[in-house]
Amino acid sequence: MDNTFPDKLFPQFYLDGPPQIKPKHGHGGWGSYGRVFHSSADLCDADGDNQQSFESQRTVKGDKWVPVKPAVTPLIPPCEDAKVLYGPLPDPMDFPEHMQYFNQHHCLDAFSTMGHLLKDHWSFARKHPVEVLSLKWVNRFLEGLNHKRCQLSYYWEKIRHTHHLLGDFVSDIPQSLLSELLHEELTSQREQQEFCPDLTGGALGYMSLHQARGGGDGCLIYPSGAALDTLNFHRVVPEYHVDKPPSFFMDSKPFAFELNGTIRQLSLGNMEDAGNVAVRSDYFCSSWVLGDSRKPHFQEVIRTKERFSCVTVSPHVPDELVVATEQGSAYLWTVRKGLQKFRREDSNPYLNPKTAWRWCEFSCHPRVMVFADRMGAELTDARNHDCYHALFRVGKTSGCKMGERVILTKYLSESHANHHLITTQFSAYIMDERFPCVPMLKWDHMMESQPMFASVLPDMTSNNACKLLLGAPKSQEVMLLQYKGGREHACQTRGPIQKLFSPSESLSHLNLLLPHKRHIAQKRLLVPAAGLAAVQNKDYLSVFQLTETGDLFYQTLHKHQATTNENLTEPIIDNVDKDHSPTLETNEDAQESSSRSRGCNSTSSPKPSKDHDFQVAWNKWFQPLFKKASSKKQHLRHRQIKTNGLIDVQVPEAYTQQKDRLKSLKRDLHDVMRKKEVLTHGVTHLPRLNVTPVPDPIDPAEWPDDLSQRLAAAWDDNWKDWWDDKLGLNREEKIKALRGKRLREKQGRRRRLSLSGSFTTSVSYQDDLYEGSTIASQYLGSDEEDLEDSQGMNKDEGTLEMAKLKPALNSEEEPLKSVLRMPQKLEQEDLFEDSTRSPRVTNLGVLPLVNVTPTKQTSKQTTFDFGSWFGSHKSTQDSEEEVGLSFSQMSSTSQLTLSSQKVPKVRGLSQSSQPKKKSRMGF
Amino acid sequence: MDDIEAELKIDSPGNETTNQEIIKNPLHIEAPSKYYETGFHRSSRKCLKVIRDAMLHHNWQKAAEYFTSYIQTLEDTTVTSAHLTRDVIWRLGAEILHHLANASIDDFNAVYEIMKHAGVSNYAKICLEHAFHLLLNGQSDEAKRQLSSASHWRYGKLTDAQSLEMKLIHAYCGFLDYFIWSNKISTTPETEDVSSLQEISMYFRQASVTLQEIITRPGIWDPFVLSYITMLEHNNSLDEALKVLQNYAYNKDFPSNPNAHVYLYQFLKRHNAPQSALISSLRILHSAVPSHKLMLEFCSLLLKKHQDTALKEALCACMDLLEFSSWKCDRDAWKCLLKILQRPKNEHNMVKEEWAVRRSLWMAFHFRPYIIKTESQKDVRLWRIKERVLKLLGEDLHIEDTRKSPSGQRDRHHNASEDNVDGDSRRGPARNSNSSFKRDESKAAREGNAAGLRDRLTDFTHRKRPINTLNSTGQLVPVGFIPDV
Repeated sequence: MDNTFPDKLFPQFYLDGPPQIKPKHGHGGWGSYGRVFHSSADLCDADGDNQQSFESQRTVKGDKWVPVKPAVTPLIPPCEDAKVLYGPLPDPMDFPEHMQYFNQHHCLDAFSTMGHLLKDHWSFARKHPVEVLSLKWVNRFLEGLNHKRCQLSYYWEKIRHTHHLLGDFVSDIPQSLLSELLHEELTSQREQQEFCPDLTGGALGYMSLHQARGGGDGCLIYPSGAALDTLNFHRVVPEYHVDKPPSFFMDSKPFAFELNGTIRQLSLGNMEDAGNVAVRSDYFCSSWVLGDSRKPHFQEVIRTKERFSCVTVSPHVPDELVVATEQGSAYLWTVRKGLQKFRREDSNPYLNPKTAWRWCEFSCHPRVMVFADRMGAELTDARNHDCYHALFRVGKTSGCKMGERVILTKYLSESHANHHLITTQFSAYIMDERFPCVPMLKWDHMMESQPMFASVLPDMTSNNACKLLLGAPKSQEVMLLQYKGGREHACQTRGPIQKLFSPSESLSHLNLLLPHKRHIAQKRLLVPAAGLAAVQNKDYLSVFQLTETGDLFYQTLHKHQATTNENLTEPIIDNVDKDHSPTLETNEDAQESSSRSRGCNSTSSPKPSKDHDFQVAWNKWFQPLFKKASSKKQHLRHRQIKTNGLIDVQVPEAYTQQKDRLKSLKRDLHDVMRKKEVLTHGVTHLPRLNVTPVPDPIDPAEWPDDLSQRLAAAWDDNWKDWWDDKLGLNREEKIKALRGKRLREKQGRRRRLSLSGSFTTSVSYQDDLYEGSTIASQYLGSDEEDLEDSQGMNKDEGTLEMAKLKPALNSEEEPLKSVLRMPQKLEQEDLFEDSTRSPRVTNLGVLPLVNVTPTKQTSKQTTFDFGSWFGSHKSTQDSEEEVGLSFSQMSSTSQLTLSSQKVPKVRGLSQSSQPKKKSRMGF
Repeated sequence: MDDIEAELKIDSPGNETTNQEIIKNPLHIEAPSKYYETGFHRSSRKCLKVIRDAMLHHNWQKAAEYFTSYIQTLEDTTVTSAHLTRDVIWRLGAEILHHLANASIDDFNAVYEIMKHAGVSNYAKICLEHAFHLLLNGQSDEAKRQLSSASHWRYGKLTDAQSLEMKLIHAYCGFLDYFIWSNKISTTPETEDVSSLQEISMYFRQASVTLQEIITRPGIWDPFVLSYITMLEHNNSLDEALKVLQNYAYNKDFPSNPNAHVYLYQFLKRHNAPQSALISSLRILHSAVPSHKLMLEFCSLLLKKHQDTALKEALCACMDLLEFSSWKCDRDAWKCLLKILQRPKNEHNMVKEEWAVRRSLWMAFHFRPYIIKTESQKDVRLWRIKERVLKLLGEDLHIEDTRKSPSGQRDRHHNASEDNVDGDSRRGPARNSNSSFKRDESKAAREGNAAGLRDRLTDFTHRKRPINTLNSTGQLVPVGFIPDV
């Protein structure tokens, strides 16, 4: 029921005035809920005990559409003589180079007229008449032009005069004029390549031939030819199978009609007995009729001196169209009856800079049209010329950003009779014409270039979501947006925006090509998009894309359900990104990639994978392109000399062996890098390395002389202490320390009971440390001051953590001898600890900031502790109390990982102190 | 108009090139290469790009992996637009969490809490989102606590910069107060307990003050207005409620919200307002939204008045309604029109005048052959009503059928020539067959000798087709006729 208006809308401010928000970043479409309201219809009826349930403007979960194949598939063979513009955008300041090229390589065009005139007066012949200037003179003259010398000398004056006389006339087109025009042309070319408003609307359409039966055959309408001037009506029969992705069967030949200009835009009407198709080229608009049981035919054509910027077929009444010209006139065109002008805007009402782009669309009322320019869209009544009001205006619709401009408007008659889509370079709006200037829904579409094509797929059943497809020409992006509501309920978006595949991405999913072929393919696939069409059948969504070279691609998406057959969801595995993802690869993939590395010409050999058909389709598509490129080359054939027989050198067997070894090494390296493993020596087949044994450690005790002792002390930075000891300067301190130590030992004996009690906690302590959830670990990583603080803090509790830390501290204070005796042993212990006792810690080292919980972990999915994301930030401590558990987790894990090298060391110290503690307990 | 110009002075100083520039660069994803970029910035930019691509392709697991590294940019102090980075991080973080299976409410809380305090430039926005998240997950008490603590937040200029969000925070706070109030009202019986009454009145006061404040500002406040009106009605201050509704509907600063008119009308109806008041409120709605659902009620109200002018108004309103495509197949609307036409007092002239204006559109829009065919097959009841309406309007369908719209002519014409054409088109590629589009006079003359095409073109040469040119005044001027080939 399109005639009901939502009984309440989401609250929002209405800001009437120039937009103040600056465009910030391209990620505005995520993370926000928009606004919420309560979902129960009547408050008074709501049961008091129940909590109110709320709904948000942006819902998190939507239908999940999964691509069936890893990239787009070509639908028709490529047009071989299409021109491909490739490379950097033309720079207007490059005009001197262009002129140089013109003068050099097209000298006849550049200078022929003057050359003919001067021919009789200049001669290169040795004997020449008197009145003709000689070669000598000419040569000197030309030399003089080349070198800058003294301007005042006699000859040069002559040259200067001649130059002044002839400078403007020598070239057929005056240089200044030519350069000016060239600059202008380059500028406009650049603008055209960056943003070409002519393409708005898109030149691709899909019309279902049976309106009633949704899944029947349809007609794909697209331009072809080098200049996109042939209009094609191509019958397509989609076939849907339960267990297979759908495929399209196309008639062998389309109905092709050659037109008088490049086809810029196609607009389709509704299919009744017959459906209207309108075609726009720059100066012509034509209307065609298409029916199920008859071939497409032409109805009428109109022509203007101004360029057309839009044509739209009425969804309400057959044979009615609107056209708009760049001068700002808009006409209602009834086929065979003529045109009726309903609007003329010589200037842009709300915009100082004049832009020629105008657009017209129908609305819910067959005589009320939407008239749009870059600043907004207005509803205009065709029966009453002065009656119009704004549907959308950049200054009036709140939430607009500075510099926002309308790119496309589209009447969404299929999905809702009152809805209009308006896209700008930042956002997409759903406007309801009953409530002008306030968007029912707004997305940040996050596209890299401006969305100029749109296609809408209505909800088949009432609980499904409407789907909007936005397409951008330059970046070939296609975005899938889903929304719901607009009738009884306010509009809500469903799920985040999804990006579909673009033709330029598909190369990375195919077998590797030879570099020159790859270049050709890349060039061809990077061409801007020119149109977008989509068709839906139950759980399948097929999207057609047209590029400016007239190539047609399609991709199919499948609605993901919990019970979906796994076969269908498999192909989403992204082949390109495998290098980055940590997922384990199957053997098959490894083989495949190794085969890739071995031979580059794997295009001819079929890839042993499930996408065989896909690869074959692409190979077939590439064939004519490569063939054409290679046939071109034959003009520049060079002489080939076979050198096989010339160089007859016996290659030593050892060399070939080594070569094989290197090859296998290369392959192994490749595998290892892909799997992110360590290259072990056993794999490499390289000659064994001579392992130089580590020299025996020097035991300082074996060298009792003073010099050796002092040197040993100096190595440990205890040189001063050694001298202090030697000279007896620190005797008092030593005595003091000894006393203190005894005192503590006495206290320790007194506390034995509590100590043994806390020992039980020490067992859990280690585990806690690994789990990363004790506060102690936080202190472990920090420096000494923190350690002492922690001691102070934990003193009252008297846990063993402190007791364990203490010996570690003491050991530092102890005389160097013990330390010097221990180092090897300690290190070994550390190593041992690392390898055996703390496997989880090493895990943490591999995946930084990820807290892996092995019980829950599946083989492919890693689980994340999201608290740890932000652990390193300062404000954690401030708000620790508020968040509670998650925060404590967070801080500890982060410290653990940030100082993952420190942890084992300290633990090693604490471990090493354990036997000491035992001996103390034995006191 | 002048406000736009004010804007334009800022962003485009009046020439086309700058305007083009603005359209050209929608997003600044790639960093400009003007300034020297450190390695850290470069890698974080690339990381962001990877995350973005993964998220756009709904590859959440991968995005999460990269995101754990990307948050290091929070510590970056050299970035001039640090608040942008923070905004990006909370948006990405929240979105990724939404789509990971093992994300718990604590994780969400952590993200919101930390990002709220990390550079307070987005404090209010994130607070609001946090509260929404809690509300959607059924923790309305916690949400209330969040909102009320956020409503007291002060941070100098930064608070002023986020004044709109702060107002929304206040409003939602009051909105939740209202729910508490309505819960208490419905659960607590009519007690004389002073403390509970005091509590109720406290919530009432809090809610009414904040809601009253927000709905005086221009905007769309449907849920707030509804709840405020409920409270006022409960308190029996009907005049105040009417004033609020009238302000909401008729204030020029507000957008023309159809719901505002609906609420006013429903309020009037609920409190037994006189018929003239109801009609006048609906009349205003009719001028704003002629396709609104209440227009049927408007018509029936007008019919009750038994006046000629009212009848004429009802006829206009009903016919206006039926001209909208959303009402095209609505049986009630057609019944209403039938009822109006059947009125005995009905002046024939009036109907004739209206019909004369609308006839051409209606014949193509409602009574074209395809629609007659489908409706007489699928929705017979509707078609019967339409048939009777047409009779009352003085049109004979059968006569109409013969001289109907051009599409009808075309259909028959083509059916006749179908066989000729079909065979031809199969025989050869249609490439050259229908080239009449590109032919102007000279070309047509040149190709005049293409007699071989004659047979194939039988379909298109039954009549001469003009190529038309628009002259400057927009009238259609035929520039020439294509001769029969």
